[in-house]
Amino acid sequence: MSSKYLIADEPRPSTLGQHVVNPQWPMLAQMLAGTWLALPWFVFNSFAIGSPNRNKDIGLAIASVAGSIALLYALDYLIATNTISGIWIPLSFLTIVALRLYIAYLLFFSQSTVFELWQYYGGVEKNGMIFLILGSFLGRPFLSSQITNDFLRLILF
Amino acid sequence: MMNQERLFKLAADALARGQTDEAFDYLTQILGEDSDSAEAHALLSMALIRKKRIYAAGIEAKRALELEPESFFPHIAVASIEIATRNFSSAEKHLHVALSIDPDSAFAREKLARLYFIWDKKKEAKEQITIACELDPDDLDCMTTKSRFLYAEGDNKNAELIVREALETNPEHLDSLVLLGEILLANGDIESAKENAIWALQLDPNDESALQLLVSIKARQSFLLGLWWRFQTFISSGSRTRAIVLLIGMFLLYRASTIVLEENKLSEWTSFVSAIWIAFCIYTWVAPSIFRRKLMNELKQVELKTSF
Repeated sequence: MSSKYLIADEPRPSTLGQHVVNPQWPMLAQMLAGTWLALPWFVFNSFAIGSPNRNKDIGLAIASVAGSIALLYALDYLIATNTISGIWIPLSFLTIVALRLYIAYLLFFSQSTVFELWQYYGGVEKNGMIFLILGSFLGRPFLSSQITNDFLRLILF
Repeated sequence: MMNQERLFKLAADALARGQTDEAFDYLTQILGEDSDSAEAHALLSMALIRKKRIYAAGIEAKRALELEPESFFPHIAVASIEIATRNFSSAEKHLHVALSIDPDSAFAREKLARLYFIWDKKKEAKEQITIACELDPDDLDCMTTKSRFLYAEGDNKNAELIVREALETNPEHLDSLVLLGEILLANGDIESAKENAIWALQLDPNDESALQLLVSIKARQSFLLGLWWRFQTFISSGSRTRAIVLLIGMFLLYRASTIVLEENKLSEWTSFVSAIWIAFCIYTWVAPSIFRRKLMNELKQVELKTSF
């Protein structure tokens, strides 16, 4: 009795298959809408696509949030102790942007390979553009108006 | 068992022709029936390397070696992984083990020659490819590799002679088609080079070396697209981490410059830098899809040509 041999990096069957998007959309969501949309979207997409890397993807998403919090505390300390001042304050906040983008790229590359294989095996992607536009032009301003805590805003956007 | 042997032969032939997807189909059929076939795991590993699926290729090669540590193919498969991950010493060790199992294998010698070539041990590379071609003068891979070495030395004339000879034996040998295209392009014969690239892409639309050849041709023909592909090659030539660091580095440079300009009350310069950045983003967004569409159109046109 023969069965289909599954190569280690091939996507596993998933019931969420109809919600799979090209990972470029959550990647763009990181740039345009913010972390609040991008990271959950990456993780959901990882499950929907049946990615064999989904545990790694969850770990990366957690690392992005935890790393941003750690950097925020570190920068807060450096500002409070006057170690950095003037123009260096806005420049130092770019470290958080760099960390988030770095992790978003890792997630993007991790899912791109699986996504290509998923398409090769007949998967049809959902268009993520509408979700991205809604998240960027409605979701972000709405959340921004609701959240007054600066720390939380820096984490979410 | 007979069926498996037949499928393995079909898979090996498909892989030799550069038709990796077809090889996948045969090999997964074999492994679906018998997951302990070391040869199938090893060949699958080599097919996966062609597709740059290094992680899965590593698992297949390891499995092949576990099943048959004294066999020829598993060592070749592991060596191929080690070459792909640039562990050259380990690759050399495995190739020597493979040669101790089958000392007359032109296949292993050719691999060893290629390893020495990318390791920048040109003298050893030449020695090995000479032995490989003596062992099997009709082997197309040996001929192509020998031709590539000559081409790298600047001996385009002899390189072309050898690769044309290989193509006379098999006009669908993918590596030879691409190499001849490269030589023709270097000689300035853009149209013939393009025909070779498209023919190779007909055989395997995802073959990276064939795509790279077409990219080089496009870069010669169109300034704007050429600019994009040079940028793309610069970004992607290296590890993934390097690519990410470069992309984020550019973004941070843009953000840092706008912060500094704003801080110095140079808002008109801030707008100028932002406009350049946005134009760059749009260009990098649009250029690949234009290129892909042009490529697909060209491939479609060639499908209609009966001469192919």
